[in-house]
Amino acid sequence: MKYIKLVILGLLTFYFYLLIGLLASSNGYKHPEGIFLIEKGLLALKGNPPRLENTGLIYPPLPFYAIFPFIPFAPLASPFLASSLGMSAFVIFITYRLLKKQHKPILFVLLFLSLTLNPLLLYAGSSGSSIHLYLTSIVAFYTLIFEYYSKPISFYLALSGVLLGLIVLIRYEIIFILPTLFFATVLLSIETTIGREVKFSEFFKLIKELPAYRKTFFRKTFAIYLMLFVPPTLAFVSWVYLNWIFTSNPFNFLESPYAYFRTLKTYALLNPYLLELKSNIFKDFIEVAKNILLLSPMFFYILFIFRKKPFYTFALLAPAFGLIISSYFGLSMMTIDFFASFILISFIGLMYAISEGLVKKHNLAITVYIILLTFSIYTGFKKLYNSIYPEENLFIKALIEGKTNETFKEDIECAQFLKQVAKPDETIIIDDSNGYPVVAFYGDPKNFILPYQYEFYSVVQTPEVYADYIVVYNPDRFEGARDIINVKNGNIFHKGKEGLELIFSSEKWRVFKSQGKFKIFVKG
Amino acid sequence: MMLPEIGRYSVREILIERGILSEREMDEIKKFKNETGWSFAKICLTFGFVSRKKWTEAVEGLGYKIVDIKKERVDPKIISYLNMLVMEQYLGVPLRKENGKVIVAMCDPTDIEFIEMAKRIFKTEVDIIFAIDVDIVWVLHKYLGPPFCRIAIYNLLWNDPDRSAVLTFTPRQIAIILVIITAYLAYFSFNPTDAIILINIIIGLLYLLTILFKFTLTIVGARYELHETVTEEELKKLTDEELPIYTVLLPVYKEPKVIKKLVENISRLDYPKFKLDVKLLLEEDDFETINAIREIDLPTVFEPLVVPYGEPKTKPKACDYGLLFARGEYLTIYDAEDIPEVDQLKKAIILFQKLPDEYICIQCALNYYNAEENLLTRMFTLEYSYWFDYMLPGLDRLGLPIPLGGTSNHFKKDKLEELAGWDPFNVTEDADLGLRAYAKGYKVAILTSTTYEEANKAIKNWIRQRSRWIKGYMQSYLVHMRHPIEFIKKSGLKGFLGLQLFIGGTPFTFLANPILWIVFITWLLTKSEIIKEFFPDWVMYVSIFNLLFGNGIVIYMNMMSVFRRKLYTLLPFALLNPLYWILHSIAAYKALWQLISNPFYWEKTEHGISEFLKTEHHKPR
Repeated sequence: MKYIKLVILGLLTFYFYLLIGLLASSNGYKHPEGIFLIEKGLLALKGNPPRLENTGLIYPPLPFYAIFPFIPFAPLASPFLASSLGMSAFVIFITYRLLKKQHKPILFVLLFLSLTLNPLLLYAGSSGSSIHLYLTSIVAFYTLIFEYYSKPISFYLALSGVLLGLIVLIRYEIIFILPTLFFATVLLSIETTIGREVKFSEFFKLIKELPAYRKTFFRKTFAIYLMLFVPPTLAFVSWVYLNWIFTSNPFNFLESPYAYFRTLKTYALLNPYLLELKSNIFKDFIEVAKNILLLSPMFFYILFIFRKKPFYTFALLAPAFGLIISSYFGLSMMTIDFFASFILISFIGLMYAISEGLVKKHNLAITVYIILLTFSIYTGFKKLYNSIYPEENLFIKALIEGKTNETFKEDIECAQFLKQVAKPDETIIIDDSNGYPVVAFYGDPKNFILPYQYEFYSVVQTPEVYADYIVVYNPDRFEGARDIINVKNGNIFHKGKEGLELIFSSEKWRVFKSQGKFKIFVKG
Repeated sequence: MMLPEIGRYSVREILIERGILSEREMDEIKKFKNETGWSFAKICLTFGFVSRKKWTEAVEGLGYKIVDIKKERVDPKIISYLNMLVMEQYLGVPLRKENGKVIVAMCDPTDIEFIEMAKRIFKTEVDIIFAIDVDIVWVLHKYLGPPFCRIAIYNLLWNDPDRSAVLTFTPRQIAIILVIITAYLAYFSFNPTDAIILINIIIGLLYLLTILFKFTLTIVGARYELHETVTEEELKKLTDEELPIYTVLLPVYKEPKVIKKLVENISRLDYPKFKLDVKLLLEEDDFETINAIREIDLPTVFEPLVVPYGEPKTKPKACDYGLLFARGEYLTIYDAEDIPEVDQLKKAIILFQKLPDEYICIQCALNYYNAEENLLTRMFTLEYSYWFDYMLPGLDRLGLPIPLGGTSNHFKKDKLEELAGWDPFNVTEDADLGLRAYAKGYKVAILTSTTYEEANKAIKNWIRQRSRWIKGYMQSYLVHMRHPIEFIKKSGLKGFLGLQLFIGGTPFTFLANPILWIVFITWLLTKSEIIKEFFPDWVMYVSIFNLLFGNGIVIYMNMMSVFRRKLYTLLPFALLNPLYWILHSIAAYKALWQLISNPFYWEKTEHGISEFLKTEHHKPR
């Protein structure tokens, strides 16, 4: 019976986030990452030929795989179908844990309020971004590692390790979180060895005086380290191996011009706000702390509750330190994405604070938490509304105000135009580093000649001969200078080319039709 | 042989005089004798009141000389005059007629009752010679045991022929295999590339399913890591009066080195000795072990039972023979090198009392006392910890058939008899029995009590042992796949899946492993397009997933297995599992060869080779 109720709850959660996603989408909102995932998903499942490696081996792979089940029948909705499913699975998991620990009903209400009203969580669950995977994984990790602390059963430790390994393939930023977790692990070992009433000073005394105790402790600590850090290591090694077999360069995902961190760095350099934070640890600290305080003030309250528990403190601080470090290196966009997790991490913290008996006055603690949560809901809306990133502010505007200016309006127009003019056996060449939205909105990658195909690099030299339609990105726009077609054909966007007729023009895109060529592709 | 005047002293009086038996012990013996009718000699030797060496000295003190009656001439007609069980109780056996008298071998030459009985039956005088109990039992079972031996061998075959491994492949199975091979070869001849791709697909998917299945089992089993099936409080409440007779079967063969340790370990069991029915199962031709028993100079609780010669000469046959003479309400088996936890029998009884009636067997955990002797013992310990502490509990929780371990399975004796005992033709009779029990609607529970064994430290010895286990799994799979529809009907789809993935999947992965690794390494070194041809995209993805995730998760689960027993030093060795799997594959191919060429051959594992046994009095962790 209990399980049926959990399944129903999951279905309701799924429906809720799907509704939000559909609402935002129908009001013109599209998340760039979501569109990117759709395009890669289409290439993997419907490409020419369909292969997993068409997704490229640069971006972490799991966000793509999460949307695969939905690509065949609803590609444009696949990102928020995936995020809705992810959030519903997460809700089932957290609710199950709440039930297992026999928590008060108010905690269920708090969870419900957070998930349905907090705009950061709505954004994570419905915008189409893949951050829901990171959010659910990291919060599940904390749940399991805290459970291991509470009941040292290796089951929880093993699953925590597995989750850390999975997060490596979801967001590379985990690399900045691991150092603090590395330190927190020794605290985990100490605190699970000494028991709740024994002080650290007594522990060190025992370590010094009893060789057998010392030996056992070090062995146990080493074992916990291996359990937690072997999976992320294995995930990294697997990714290196896959890069090697599919691209011949094991570190392609780091060295490619389109590498994840390289792209982040480029964006950060062009952003004055982020540029200020680079290499300035003090500013990074202030900025991260400020954002957490605004968006998830409950987090500081939870840290206060756990002030006498070093393991909890450092474990909770790990994502915060991760943000500071990544910002210091100029590798963080300071988007909402990573701040959303603090809301749910705080909730998990509250759950365990109550069950571990760290909070004597439950009602007071919950009241304080509710006040802070309410505050965070308000600040979350404000933050999103005033965000410098269109994908964030347009999301909230799409929900509250209704219709927004479509962020991909021109890409959609270009795609629709191509759909009208291009016959099924005709080919379209485009550089999808900027053109991924066009491919995504077109819906069928089989017509396209894209960089993932070997033929692209020969066709791009003389596109007028080998392709029917040539789609070129405006080189004057941000990132437009790297459009390969433009680069290889002498600024074709502005100058055109003999043998090509301009048939579509917008601020972003121009489409040229070839006037006579040899067909090298046989469709079917 | 001297026949001194009887009545001057009895053995009883000698033992009291020498302080070997106290008055209190005499009273206990007398009480048991009155209740059961057993002879004084039998009670003393079976229940550890007197060691065999001390008994021999006492009897020799009366002027008798011990005779090895195994070498004596025995007249089968004379021996059959008396009931075998009666002779066993008195530890006396008539050997032959000579010079008008019957030569009677007795363990207690001063036992008037038996002497008078012999005189009455043969209507003649008797000449008494002294023989120790194990030799008397040897003679009894050699000459009178063969009919029982036939029952032991053929019981399952008579009662449930479809479940006997006497036939490795049934005609129908052979026909099906031939049809499949022929069809495949025909397909191969038309389209070799696609035919090889098909094999790759099948192997890849089976691998994937097996890995996911084992992962699920481990995770489910791991949740109950700290769960104790029987608590200390429950143990304390149990009184000796409530306890039933418990049979302990100890099958041994050529174990002169460890026999002393074995009987010592069994004697330490926390169970009222008069309620223990410990049967040391010896083979007729195992003179080394029999002679070693005579030399044991400490009181031990066991009753020797000699299994007459008869093919197949296997442990399950010996156990089936022992079952015929078992007196207990419950029964368990221990191997030669086993050290069970002392309260294991009591815990088993408590658990049986707590469980519903359909639970007829309890499997305890097995682990090793020489875990850190060398790399092989470390890997073996990791494997066993994983198997017994996580996988079997996972099977238990999911309600799937549990292949029993070789020892420390505790049975309700009547149900074991209903199942016709073990299959003497199956070299992993334990795994088979678990499946048969499941197929009949019975269940097996897991008890968190450990029996410590000796981990094989020598590679060749290990391969011999492992090849037998894998061969047994193959045999069990073939037996239970004779009627797959019937199996599904009786055990459900879940049980059938367990049979495929666990019993069938285990030898399969070890056989497939080397082929896959060879293909992978060849491709890695050459990047040959020819190999790529046989791995089209989606097949390759499954293969890569199996290689990376599959291997990774199995190693990781092995790492997890150290936590329950806090064997933290073993954890890093889990990373060496790929090397350990090579040994498994060698054993698997040996098993496959023997399955066809010599299916009933029992690869004897040498025990007592651990340095641990030689240098210290070992204690379990």
